[in-house]
Amino acid sequence: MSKAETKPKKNKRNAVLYKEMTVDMKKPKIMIIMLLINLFILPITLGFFLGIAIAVFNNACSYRVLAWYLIAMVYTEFFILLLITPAITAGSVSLEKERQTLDVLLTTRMTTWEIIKGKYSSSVLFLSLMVLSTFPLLALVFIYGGISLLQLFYVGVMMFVLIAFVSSFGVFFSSLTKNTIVSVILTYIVLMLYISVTIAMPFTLLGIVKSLNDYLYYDTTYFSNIITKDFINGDFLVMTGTFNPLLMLFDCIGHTIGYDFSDLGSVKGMITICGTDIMPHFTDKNIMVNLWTPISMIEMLLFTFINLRISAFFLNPVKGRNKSEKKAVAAKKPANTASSASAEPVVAESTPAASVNDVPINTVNAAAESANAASTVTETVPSTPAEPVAAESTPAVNESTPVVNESTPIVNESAPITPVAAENVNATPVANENAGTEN
Amino acid sequence: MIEIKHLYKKYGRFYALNDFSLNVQQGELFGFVGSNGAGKTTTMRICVGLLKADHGEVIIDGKNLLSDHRALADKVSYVPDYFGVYKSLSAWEYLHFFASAYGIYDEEADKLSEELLELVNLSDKKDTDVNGLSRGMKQRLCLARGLVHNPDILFLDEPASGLDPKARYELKEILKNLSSMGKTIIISSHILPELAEMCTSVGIIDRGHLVLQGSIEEIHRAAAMSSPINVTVNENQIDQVFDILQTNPFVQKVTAQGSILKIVFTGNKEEEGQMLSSLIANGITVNSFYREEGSLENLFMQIVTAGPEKGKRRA
Repeated sequence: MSKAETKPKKNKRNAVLYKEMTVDMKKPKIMIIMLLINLFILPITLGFFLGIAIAVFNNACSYRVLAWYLIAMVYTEFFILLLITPAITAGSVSLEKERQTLDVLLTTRMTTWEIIKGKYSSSVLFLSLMVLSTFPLLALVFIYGGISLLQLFYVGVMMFVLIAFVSSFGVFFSSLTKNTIVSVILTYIVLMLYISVTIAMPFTLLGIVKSLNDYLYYDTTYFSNIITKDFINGDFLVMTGTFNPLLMLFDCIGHTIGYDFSDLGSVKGMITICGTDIMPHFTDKNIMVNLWTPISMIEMLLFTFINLRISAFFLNPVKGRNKSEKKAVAAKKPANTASSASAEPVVAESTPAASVNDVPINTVNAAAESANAASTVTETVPSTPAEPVAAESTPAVNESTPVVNESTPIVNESAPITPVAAENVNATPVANENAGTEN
Repeated sequence: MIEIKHLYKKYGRFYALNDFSLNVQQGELFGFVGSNGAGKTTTMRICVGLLKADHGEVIIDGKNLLSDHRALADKVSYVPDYFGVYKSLSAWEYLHFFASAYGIYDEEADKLSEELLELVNLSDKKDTDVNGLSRGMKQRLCLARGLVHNPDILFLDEPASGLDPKARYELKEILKNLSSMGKTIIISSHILPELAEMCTSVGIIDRGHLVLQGSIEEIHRAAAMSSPINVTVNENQIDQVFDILQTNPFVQKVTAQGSILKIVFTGNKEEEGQMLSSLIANGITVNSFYREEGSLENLFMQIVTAGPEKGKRRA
């Protein structure tokens, strides 16, 4: 029982993360998942390299084939991640709730933010490890060259941001719901909605701006002063697409590996294609469009951070407790429970005082009386003070007396005494008991 | 040590805690008794910061710590009535994990886990999977977990439920041991006699309200006083006895069973003696005069069932 002499203000190490990294990572489950993922993308490798081998035998093979090998691999990994991330992260906190370990964890020094951080980062690290485990297959491109290490690193960073982003959805719903299955389903649905909505958003918004511009330009009766075809500059709205992970992946690959269909190579390329019409102000030189992937990454990491903060807030069992609020509650409370106010003083005085030096039996009576008083309050029967209770109890006592009558004739005499008893409710159980023994 | 002041907690329209106040002194082994749904767990969960009270405050060592998570976590420890153990962790790893949750790492945590396992007699189960432990062992492991950060106050929610007599005895010994270390321990249970064996004081909660609090001696005395006095007199004098008893303010109720009178008496020992002497002074032949053995169970039932059932019937 050695007490830690100097308790640090903050925990040095995240216990949850440490546990999951040291203990849970040893589980065979981890290895199996990793193996399955590699087995899943292995056919792509085999197919490509078989194709290259055949091509080389016949005549020659372009370096671009390897680029396309990398593209195929990265896209496949992206969709695998999209598929398994919710399954892995959506149970992280809700499983703790189901195992009832969360309560215990919450009473420790760890704050909800730390718990969320630990849970989240362990999921992210695990998923990153899985992506990392596929890198040897990706690195096969270096056999022939054509891709630089830096480019592969850039793709790796982008994948990491993707994992971080998608994981935060799982953790968010996990901390919100009590049931893992509900959490998993919610995560999948919301993720799907999110991706489809954000991918459609820039194009929808630009379309709206375009039609507005058209309207303004061609309506010569009211807007004759508008002489440019693109009066409203809505081009920046295309940046709403930076919230979409799929567009980020598309842009990132276009910038690093390239797609071979020149202009359509990235989001930037796509913009150049339709630029003159849809986005008259943005050109392919526009810095924002050129920095699509970095902007996207920053946004997603911010989004993730906010997501986790909200999760931590929801997880906190005593959230929102502060002094001002407490005072407000305190001020409100007496008004709300006006009916219970009558019971309060009785108890406040009787219980603690009596327990110290009074005759114990009186304590019991006083306490029982106050219990009765309290009962009338909690049952929300406003007009039932102690007397009706007593009145009701008298029949019970009378019921017992006839039974006694049968056994002995003299007991009639007990009748005058029972009213005394009727004044105290507490006597009833004892009376019933006696009747019982007599039977 | 712990001062709970006017706690209110409402679930829907139901008041789980209704103006609940309680004082527990340092070093006490406090038994917290109440029937199911009386508000024991709710109180404990509020005290350890797992639940937010609608109104009221909990003052520990003169400070309201409910808003200061880390300070509260350092002071108190909560062992719930469920185990909350991780699968595939050994007992040792389990303690290690919670030690690190309190900011205790490496060698220090090793030493601590070792000591705690010894304290709860689980040293030989060090490397056993937590899931493979028996109920009693799990309970003891959870207790060890609650002691990881050397808290001043321990909240144990029904620690003895579902344990066999041997496990219960072992738990009791450990708790007494802890109590002698100067820790304040609050144990909840729905069985008063069980707690009476080990606690130094007892509080009885009923429908969110503390109805009785006192040291264990007082509780025993109260239990004794709650049982009726049996007086055996000559059958032909019974009328006379009734007349005498009617004038006694402490007599609540008298029932006769042949020549035996059962008197529900609220006075103390002295007044009891005065009643006897008044009977004798009036020429009654008293053949026997004794109080029935009081049982804690009876006392508890008397307190707890005094109100609620009637209340429910009325509603």
